[in-house]
Formats: sequence, C-alpha cells, structure tokens
Amino acid sequence: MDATISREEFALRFAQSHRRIFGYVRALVPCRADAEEVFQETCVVLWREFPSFRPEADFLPWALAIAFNQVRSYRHRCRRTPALFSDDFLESLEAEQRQMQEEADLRADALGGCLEKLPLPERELLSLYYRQDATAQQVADTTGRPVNTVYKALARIRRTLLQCVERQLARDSRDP
Amino acid sequence: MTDLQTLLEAACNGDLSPEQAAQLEAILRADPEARAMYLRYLALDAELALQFGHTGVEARMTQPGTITLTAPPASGEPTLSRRLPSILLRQPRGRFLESAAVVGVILALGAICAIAALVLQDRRWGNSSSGKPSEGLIATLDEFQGVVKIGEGKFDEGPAVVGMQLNGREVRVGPGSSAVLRYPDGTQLRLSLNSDVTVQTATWRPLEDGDKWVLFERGELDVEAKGGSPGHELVVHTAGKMVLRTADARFIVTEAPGGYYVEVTQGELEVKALPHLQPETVKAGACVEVTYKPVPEIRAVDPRPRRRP
Repeated sequence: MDATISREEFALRFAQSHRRIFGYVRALVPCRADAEEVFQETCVVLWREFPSFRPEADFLPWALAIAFNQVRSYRHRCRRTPALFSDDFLESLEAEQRQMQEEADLRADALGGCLEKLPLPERELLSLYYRQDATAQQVADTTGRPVNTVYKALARIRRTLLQCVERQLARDSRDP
Repeated sequence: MTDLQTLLEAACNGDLSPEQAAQLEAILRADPEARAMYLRYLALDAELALQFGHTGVEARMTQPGTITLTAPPASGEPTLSRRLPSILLRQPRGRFLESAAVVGVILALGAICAIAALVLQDRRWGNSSSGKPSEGLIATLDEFQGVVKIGEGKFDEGPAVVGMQLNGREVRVGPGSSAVLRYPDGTQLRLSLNSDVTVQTATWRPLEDGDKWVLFERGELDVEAKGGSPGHELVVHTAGKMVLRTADARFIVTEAPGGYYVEVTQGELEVKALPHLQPETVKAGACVEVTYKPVPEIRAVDPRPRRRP
C-alpha cells in the first residue's frame, strides 16, 4: 500500500472507530488511567500493523481484536496488582461489550444532547474532571469543595446523564 | 458488601480496590442486568473522556525534529462536531462573555492561572535572548520543556526534562486565547479564534523525518509551512473529511457551517475533500469552501474578512 494512501486510509478509519475502540478498552480495564494506557498502546499497534490490514475488511473488528490483545498483555504485565477481572469473566464481558458496539454511536449522539441540557456548573465540573484528566481531589482543590462533595456530584451527574441517554434512546426507538 | 452503584463510581473514578474489583465481578457474574449497567456506565465514562477532549493518546513519537499535532478525531461522517458539547467547546464571543458574567468566579480563577502561566513562561524562557516569549508563544520544539495545557483559562505545567521534544503533549486553546507552535524549520501553527481548539500529538503515528501531520477539527488554524527537509511536506487532516497538503505555503483553515473555509495567502496548497474528490490546487489569493452536504464539494469563494493575527 502506498505510504500516503496508507496514512490517509488509517486516519479515516481510525477517526471513524476510535470512540468505539476506547469505549471497548474502557469496559475491559476498570481503571481509567490504565485503560488510557492500553488505548495508547492499541493505537501504536494499529498503526504499525495497518499495512497488513486488508482494505476490503471491516476495520473495527480488526481493531477490537488488537485492542483485546493489548488488554490481555496489560493484564499479564499487571498480574501482581489484582484489581482486575478474572480471565474467564473478562472473556464473557468482552463478548457482551462487542454486542454493545452497534449502539455506541447512538449513545454518543444522545449524550451530546444530554450534556447540552446539563446546568452550566455541572458541565464545568465535568470539564474540570475529564478535560484536565484530573482526580476528584484535584477538582476539589481547584473548586474549594470537599472531595466527598465532588465524588457525590460526579456520581449524580453521571446517573443523570445515563438516565437522559436511556430516555433519549427509548424515544428514538419509538420515533425513529 | 458495597452496592453496585458505589462500585461503578469507583471504577469510573479509577479508585477500584482489588477487593472492590472482586465484589464487582461477583455481582456482574450473577446478574445480567448489572453487567449491562456496568457496560453502559463505563461507556458513558469513556464517552465523557472523549467528548471533553481527553483521549489519553500520548507521547510515543520517536522521530527527532518532527511534531505531530492532532485534534481528537471525530466521526468521519460529513457532519461537524455533532457529538461535541458545543456550549462548552465552541462558544461564540458574545455567548462566552455572557457566560463569563455568570461564571465570574471561574474567570477569576482563569486570570490567576493566566498569571501563573506567564510566570511559568517567563521562567521557561528566562535565558532566551528577549527574556520573554513572544506573545502567544507556548512552545517550540527546541525549548519546550513541559506539559502545556491552556484551556478556558487554565494552565498546567508538568514534569519535563531539558531537551524534551513536544511529543505527547496536549495543547488546548480556550476562548480568547491563542497560541503558536513552531517547528525547527520555521513552520508555524497559530491556533486562535474564540473557539476551543484541542491539539494533541498523535503519538500512535510514527512519522517520516521531516513530515508534519496535523489533525484539525474545530476553530481556526493559521499555518505558515516552510519547506523543511527536501521532499517532505505538511499535511493537515480534518478527521476523515479533508486533507490539505503543502510543502511551502501560508494558509488559514477555518471551521464553517457544514465544512471548512481554506484561504491561501502564499504559495500553493492541495485541497482534497475526502473520501473521493480529486485534490484541487489552491493558489495564493484564493479561498475555497469545502462542504459535505449532501456530498463533498470544493468551490471557490470570496475571502472572508477576518482578523489577522
């Protein structure tokens, strides 16, 4: 494959799939920082292996297979820190996660709408937490709130968003 | 035994202990509904991390003397920013000021952080000939020594070592901010406008020495590309929608409703609307609009009046 075409092809396919890949990894690696590390490693391998990818094939299953290998590799490295699911459970969870892939884009769309309905202070809190990749303690220090309040606020906002997304998906399925 | 909701929150916050992980697994094994809830919850957490710009794609650049900057890739479909929390990410100036009045405390914090940024920049460029960085300059490949995050008035600097390349570093330009990134060959990327432009190094993407590759999606990017190494070029991608390619040109690409404006002020630029259109060469003084509704199209338009940096 010509290097330039390969580069553009990869960018295009990766741009279309990276959300699903990250979501997939995130579900299999409970620790957020670790999930991001696995995602980075997955990206590196995807790029490195892309010349072996058949253009007529579906990019996402190929990418998820590589991502799962990276999850396995990460688990192998982190054996001594057992905050992980067992191997057989991970396999079954992986299968269910794959089944969820089809609705990933719908969920992302719904979440975008739900975020816009969120009150500004709550969006600001999410922004501080996710955009800066901060810990709850750092957010607490920045905002002057007790850390427990931050935890509770984040939990409440996530629950609200999840309920909003579910409502939106239910509405969309009724009125496609 | 901790309840499911608490365990899900611990997972989202990265605070899951080994004991809690075991508890969570036991619950998820026993209850399909709980498994579905776990997957939905973690999917939400992942999507929030993406929508708020943190993808965790970080430094793996190996080629010295090169830099790759990418915005977080969005869907390749021909709609722009459809999943972005636009109120946070793209506030027009008026709305921003209006919001700023409401969140004055946040702006005050931003001002403090901006002062801290200046202090830090002073410290970083303390030995340069001018003693201070030029306005808006946040990093050069030669001098950059730390993590720079400028977004909505926030500034952070992380650990660094002398001589570190600008790899794996994340640069955000918030409303009212601007920033210039300079390559050793003189190429400059100026990120500006009252939008939120997120730029990250695409560390997963090894480069050929001399090539520069940029993924851009939101806001405005003012590029002054220099020749660099012979045979190499600068390529700007817009997340599966458009490719701009040049060896030596000055141009501005601006996000616009349904596509982008590209104005070339110097040199030549190859513009290609993905996925199928043939590239068009746009010469100095010309401006094209690239739109995606209903199908990709490149057409010449009059240059729009704009504030020059």
